[in-house]
Amino acid sequence: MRVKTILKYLGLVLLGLLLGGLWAVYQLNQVKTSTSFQLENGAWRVNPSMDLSKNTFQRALVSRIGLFALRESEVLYYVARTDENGDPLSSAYDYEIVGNALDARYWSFTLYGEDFFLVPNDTKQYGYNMENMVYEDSTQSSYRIRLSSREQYDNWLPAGKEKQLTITLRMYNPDPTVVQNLASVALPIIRKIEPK
Amino acid sequence: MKKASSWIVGLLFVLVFGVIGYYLTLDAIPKLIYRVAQRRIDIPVNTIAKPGPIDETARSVVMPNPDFLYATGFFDLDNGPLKLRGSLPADDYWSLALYQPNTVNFFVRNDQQFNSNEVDLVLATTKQAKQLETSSEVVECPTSKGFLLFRLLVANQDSLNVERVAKHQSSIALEAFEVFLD
Repeated sequence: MRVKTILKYLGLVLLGLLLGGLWAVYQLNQVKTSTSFQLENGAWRVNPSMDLSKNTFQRALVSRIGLFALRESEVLYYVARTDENGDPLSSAYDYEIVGNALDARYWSFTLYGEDFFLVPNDTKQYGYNMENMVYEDSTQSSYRIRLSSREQYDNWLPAGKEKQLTITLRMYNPDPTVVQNLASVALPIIRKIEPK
Repeated sequence: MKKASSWIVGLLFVLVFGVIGYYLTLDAIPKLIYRVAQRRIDIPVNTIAKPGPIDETARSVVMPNPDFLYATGFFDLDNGPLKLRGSLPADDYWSLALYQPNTVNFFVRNDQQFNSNEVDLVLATTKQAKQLETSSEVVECPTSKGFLLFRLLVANQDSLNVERVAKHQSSIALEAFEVFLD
């Protein structure tokens, strides 16, 4: 009888641990929960704090899609997975990323596929940064990146064949005014051009 | 009545251990992913990997940045402190970051925050650091094992520029501290 009781409670312990573990994995996969601690700025999302020592959930989430990311004091990571209308970014459509130079020591855009790795393409073009961008004005302020699976001119970012695209805007050593206004600082808009 | 209380106790057991299981799982995931990365990067401990320019074949760690050359290594201080040195670019952005095995970044410094582009550090645990006598800067590591990552900016990807930065990348070394007794 005693053995039976012990086994019963052991089973309940294991059941509890299993259910708790499954719930954790489920929550990590839920977009709404996984973005609950992010700030929104148009189509862009940013974690205001990347001190992963304090938040177990955020640490688990970031380890899956941003392993070895840096603290916000060094880099801001703005991530976009939708266009300005909230529709998921996909290789099935063409987009323009239109913006102005950002207030940081160095900034860049990088495109990732649905597996969060670089999108394969023959031109080996995976992103644009403040130095290799073709600017639209003589002051080198405004730019337009063309995200498309079809060849484009000036700042063409090959989109491959991906159901879900992710664009990461990295700002290294951002100006304090950016850090203090993460949700309102002017960021590029991501506009769908035409359906294929 | 006895049956009802038995059910309640059982339910409480499941709930309490469910919460424990939830947090244990969240805590374990980064550690597991760290181990997977270690297997994928596949270099001996206490050595530095210096891969070439990042492209679509780079699949060890998600979301790699093609604007950088990386120098990476898994350090282990169980056999003593380690000397980390390198001759980094004088005018371009670069940074050094150190991580615990649970992926928490416990140290980050960029080129403008180092006194010199000649990096000369000793990695040591807190206990080891108290026993060290060295003129090099000592970085206290909260865990004896971890990961180090240099990021060297190569915004302009022409071959000459990549070659220039790659020379700096090749100078980065991690060795046992005894080799460099000060």
